[in-house]
Amino acid sequence: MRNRRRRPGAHTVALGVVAAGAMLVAAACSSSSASGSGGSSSGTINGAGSTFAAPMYQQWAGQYHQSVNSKVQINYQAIGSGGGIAEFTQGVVDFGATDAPMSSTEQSAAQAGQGSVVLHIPMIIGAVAIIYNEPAIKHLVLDGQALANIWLGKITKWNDPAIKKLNPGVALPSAAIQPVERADSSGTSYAFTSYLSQISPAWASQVGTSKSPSWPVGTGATGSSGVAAAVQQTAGSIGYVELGYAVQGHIPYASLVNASGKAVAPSTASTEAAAANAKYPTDVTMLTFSLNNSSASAAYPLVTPTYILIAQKPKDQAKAKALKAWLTWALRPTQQQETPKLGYAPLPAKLVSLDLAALKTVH
Amino acid sequence: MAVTSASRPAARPRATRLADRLFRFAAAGCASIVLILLAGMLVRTTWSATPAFRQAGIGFITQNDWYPTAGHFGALSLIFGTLLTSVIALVLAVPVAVLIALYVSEVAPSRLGDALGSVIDLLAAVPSVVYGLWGVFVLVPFLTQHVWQPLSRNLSFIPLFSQFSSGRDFATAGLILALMITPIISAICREVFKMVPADERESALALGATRWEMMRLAVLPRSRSGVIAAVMLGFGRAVGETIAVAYLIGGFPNKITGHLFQQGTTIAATIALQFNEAASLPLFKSALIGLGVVLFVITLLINMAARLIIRRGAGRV
Repeated sequence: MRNRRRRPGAHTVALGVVAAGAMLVAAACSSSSASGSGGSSSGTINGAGSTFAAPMYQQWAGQYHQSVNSKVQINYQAIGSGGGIAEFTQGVVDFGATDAPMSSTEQSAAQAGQGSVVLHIPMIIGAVAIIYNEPAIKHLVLDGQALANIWLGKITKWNDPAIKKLNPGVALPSAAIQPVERADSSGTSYAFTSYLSQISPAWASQVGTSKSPSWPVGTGATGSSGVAAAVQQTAGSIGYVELGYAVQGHIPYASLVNASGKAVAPSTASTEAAAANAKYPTDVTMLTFSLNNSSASAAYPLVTPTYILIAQKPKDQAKAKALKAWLTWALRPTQQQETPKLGYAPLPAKLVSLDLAALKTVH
Repeated sequence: MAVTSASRPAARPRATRLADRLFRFAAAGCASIVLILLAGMLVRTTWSATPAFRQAGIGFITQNDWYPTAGHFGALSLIFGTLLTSVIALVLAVPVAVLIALYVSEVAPSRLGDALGSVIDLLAAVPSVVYGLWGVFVLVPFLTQHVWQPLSRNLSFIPLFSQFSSGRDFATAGLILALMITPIISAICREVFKMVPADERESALALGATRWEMMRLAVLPRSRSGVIAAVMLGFGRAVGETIAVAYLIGGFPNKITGHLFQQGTTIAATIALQFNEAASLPLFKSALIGLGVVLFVITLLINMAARLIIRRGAGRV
């Protein structure tokens, strides 16, 4: 019985391996032909990184190939932000993608690897949803302090006074809270821990902000889908994923109390509200910023940008030209308006113009 | 050696002798590649791991503080998790695997036995990532609801079973490892049992032994060292198993506990889960390579122990 159930899995994997092999061969062929012709805006561009942004990048890549420039093939592998930075640094891929801005050590390693200044281009913004599995609670309200204390192991029961205070009139069960976190290196973890560090001094000093923090408590799962699965399977659990995973998986998610004291649910509108109000850097070579804990009253407080990493002085001009064209296309209003369908929010106009200014410096 | 020289004809064409020599040279060359690779790997990894070993000292294997981004590399909890899950796997897998092998080789009608045997070989070939995914989406929800939670609720006076958390824990990882090594152990045991001479079985039966007595008196004692070798091979696989464990153990370092329903981590899972984060931090990368060295040494020790046991067993027979 068990054997019969498993066999389709083995087949799928085998098929996947064959398909991946075929794609590799195809990629190798097309890239060699592109470098041979040396024509403008053609060739295969490889990128890797953020799983948070993967659905959007993959859709944009397909659309661009189909309806804008069929000579350009963009391959994007969702291997996680940490992996994206690593592969870009080693020069394995033409662009990296990460939700967490590179640290200064990562930045200098990447610039040494690429032999050029490396730019962060924010492409999408999205909310991190706090998902939970406690059927007794229809609508959960939490704040940053409560979240920090749950993951610090100070709040261990659903009927803790701190949660009671945020959810007046809700019958909270006395069950234990099971926090679920990412065990692998993750940009979503970075966004989550940077929010907790901003709110809670105890969190900032004991754990801090990291793609791969040393969690005080909880169960580690791999990937956003791993966290979603763990929360769905475990009664009393709580976790964090990009909003799209929560919506698609029909997993209940909490509202968070923002800086102006309002409980706001994550959505495109509340994400846009956070972005509209933010202060952006003026130096286009360092376009990194935080959208957490916005002061706008309609803003959801746990919002993160996600970046594409590209070299300012790329080694391969033809590829760079095609990559620049694709990114510029993706920043157009038509493309940005597609972001809400996948659970993200479009960039505000002023950020788009900063991005375009940054892309202009690439040559 | 003696057999080949005795059976070799007195005179052979020169070309054949040359071919013999070439073959011998090629075979020896290939065999030495293995040795060179092994030595190269050990030297190179140890060398790359030196910065982390120097930083942590002996604490690398005796301290329980794995905070790699802060530069603390005490991997004791990872070693503990590796051994604990492997031991759970062996405790669950060995009796089942030996019984399966006995059934297939001694009890079942030969056609059924052959069919069962090939199914077991097939199970041994299922990739680890498939076990992992099946574990996440099928095994964990089932176990949590129907086995672990009831067990934990009713037997919580036994410390092993108290403190249930989320179903991603030492027990689940140990169970998936048991499923993965059962076919391997069982396949080897089957071959070992087949090697027992038929006349010994028949003598036992002729002396009036029941089938079980025949197995106990003739088959099992004869196969002792082979079974131990199979168990050690399974142990070695369990120790190094990565992806399925990374999915199912709850990836949580610095926990050394006897509560089987608590999450933890293993050496191999930690390498897989933290590899990306380490790429830009040289010392962290060096520490992960150091974990690889520790894993290598553990498997080496297991193999040596197996050889020792087998040699002592062989001397006795």
